[in-house]
Amino acid sequence: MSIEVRDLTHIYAQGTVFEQMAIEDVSFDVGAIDFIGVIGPTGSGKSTLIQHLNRLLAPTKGTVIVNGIDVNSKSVPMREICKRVGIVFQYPEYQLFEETVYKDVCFGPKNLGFDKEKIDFLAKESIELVGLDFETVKDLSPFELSGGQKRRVAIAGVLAMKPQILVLDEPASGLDPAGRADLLDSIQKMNKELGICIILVSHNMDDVAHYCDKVMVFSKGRLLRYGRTAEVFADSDFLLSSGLAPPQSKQLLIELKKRGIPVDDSVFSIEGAIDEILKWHSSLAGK
Amino acid sequence: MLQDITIGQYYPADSPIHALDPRTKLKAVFFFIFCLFWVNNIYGFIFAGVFLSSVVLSSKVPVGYVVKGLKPVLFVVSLTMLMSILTIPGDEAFRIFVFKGTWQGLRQAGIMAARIFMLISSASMLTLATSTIDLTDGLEALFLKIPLLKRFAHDMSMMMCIALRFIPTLVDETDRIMKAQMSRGADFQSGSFAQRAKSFIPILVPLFVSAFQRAYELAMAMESRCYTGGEGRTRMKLLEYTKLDYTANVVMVIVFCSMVASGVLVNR
Ligand SMILES: Nc1ncnc2c1ncn2[C@@H]1O[C@H](COP(=O)(O)OP(=O)(O)O)[C@@H](O)[C@H]1O
Ligand SMILES: [Mg+2]
Repeated sequence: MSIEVRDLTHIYAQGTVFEQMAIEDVSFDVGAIDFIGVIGPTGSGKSTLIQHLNRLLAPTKGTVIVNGIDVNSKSVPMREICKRVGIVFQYPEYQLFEETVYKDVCFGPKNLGFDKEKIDFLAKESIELVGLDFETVKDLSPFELSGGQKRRVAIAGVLAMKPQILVLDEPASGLDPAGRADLLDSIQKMNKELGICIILVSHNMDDVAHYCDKVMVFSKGRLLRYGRTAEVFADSDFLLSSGLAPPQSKQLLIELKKRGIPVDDSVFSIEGAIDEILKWHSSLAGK
Repeated sequence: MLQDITIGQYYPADSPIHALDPRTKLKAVFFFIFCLFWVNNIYGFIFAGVFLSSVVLSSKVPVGYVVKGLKPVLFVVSLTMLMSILTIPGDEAFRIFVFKGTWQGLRQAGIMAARIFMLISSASMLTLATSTIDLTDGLEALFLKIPLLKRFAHDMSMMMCIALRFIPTLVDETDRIMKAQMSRGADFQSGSFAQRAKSFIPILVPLFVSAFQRAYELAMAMESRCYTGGEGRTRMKLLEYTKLDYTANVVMVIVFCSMVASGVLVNR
């Protein structure tokens, strides 16, 4: 197991009028090369949860173990944790500050104390990984890039630290559909080819259904369900009752079925939906 | 990690202090601070202390909040206290190596610390018990009474309103950027002073960029809703003094007169 979370509870501003229970008694395990989707309505505690994975927040109660080390143990320096868990926050382009893209991407690995050659190699590798051309962008100012490019540079800045676990909070929000697919494809490549464990927080059910192997569903600070994507998305009543809409392809199948067309509405992928509709179509043609 | 910043924070509660007209509260703080500088002996500080504590208690704001507001000045106050104890000439009270502490110095240090703490507490009490909108409305109403400031009353209060409104936003933003950079291995705590100062660049640059961005967006939003300044604007909520304010005024006159009187009379 690469992440073991036990009875994790976080209460903001405990003991004041602003007290707010953000997550409550959450326990789960994550495997070393999993690609996990975290879904749930706004305010359900997703961002709070991920900040516990690298000690940005201390639990009110519970433990977080990453690759065998207790994240909140005082004897482990923050840098050791940063080497294991990389977090890309929502709108990461707001973290860019250096004069050039190259320097900005080097900030993380430099902090970790890597030597010059390794930093150089990692910077190049991670800029290429996020789908940018190293030679063209390395000397540009991060502030003159487009929104999508800035986002990629910021993600490269985290990747350059070579984390074993990469956590992304809504990495695709605000990108156009093509940019979105490009970015998520690169993330999938990191998982499949480099064996990085990915935790993807997202609002977009279609993205999660398409890319993730497993899904966690949060609602009001509780982990309602955690299982294989197919199992979680098969139960559309459950999704609706926890404030989430099923993927669009699935919604289409549900609506078709309601209108008496014989399709299997437990399918949730776009390809699966196409197959179902074609099957129905050819059965019509057969008549 | 930035939860310690309480400047300008509002603590909602249902209390007579919250219910007072913002103008009354503004005047109270102004005159209280003014009178504090007249106070130079124990009697005066007792008057002031009792008054301040009863305001804090009746406001239902937890005392911890007011005390937390003193934290940022603690270092400066301790330093100046030490300086005045050691440097003010007078009769020796104690001696450590070559350093001589004097009774006069101790007295002066005590007075100064009490003044600064009460000054800060009264100011945080004002913001803790007055919502931002009330506060700026009150300021605007008071500015309108001052001939020199009258022309700018609206602009000033609008600017103050926006500034206060954006304090929590900027605190959140700083928190977010700090967390992002910490996830990239940035360290703000260790190292020499120069190193630590330098480690704030990764926070300050993004913070400035986004502050300018926000300012630009807000200006656009205001302009596109036809904002042209204060002229001809009417108010939804009119400020009106109530019986509570008259009572408060009477209490204040008594307390403030006592404070000044104690300073003037006792020390003669
Ligand atoms: N810094 C904070 N201080 C106080 N409450 C917070 C803070 N951050 C989040 N919360 C509260 O915690 C709850 C969970 O928020 P969050 O983890 O951001 O949810 P999500 O990312 O799923 O939208 C919300 O009710 C939110 O208002
Ligand atoms: Mg969130």
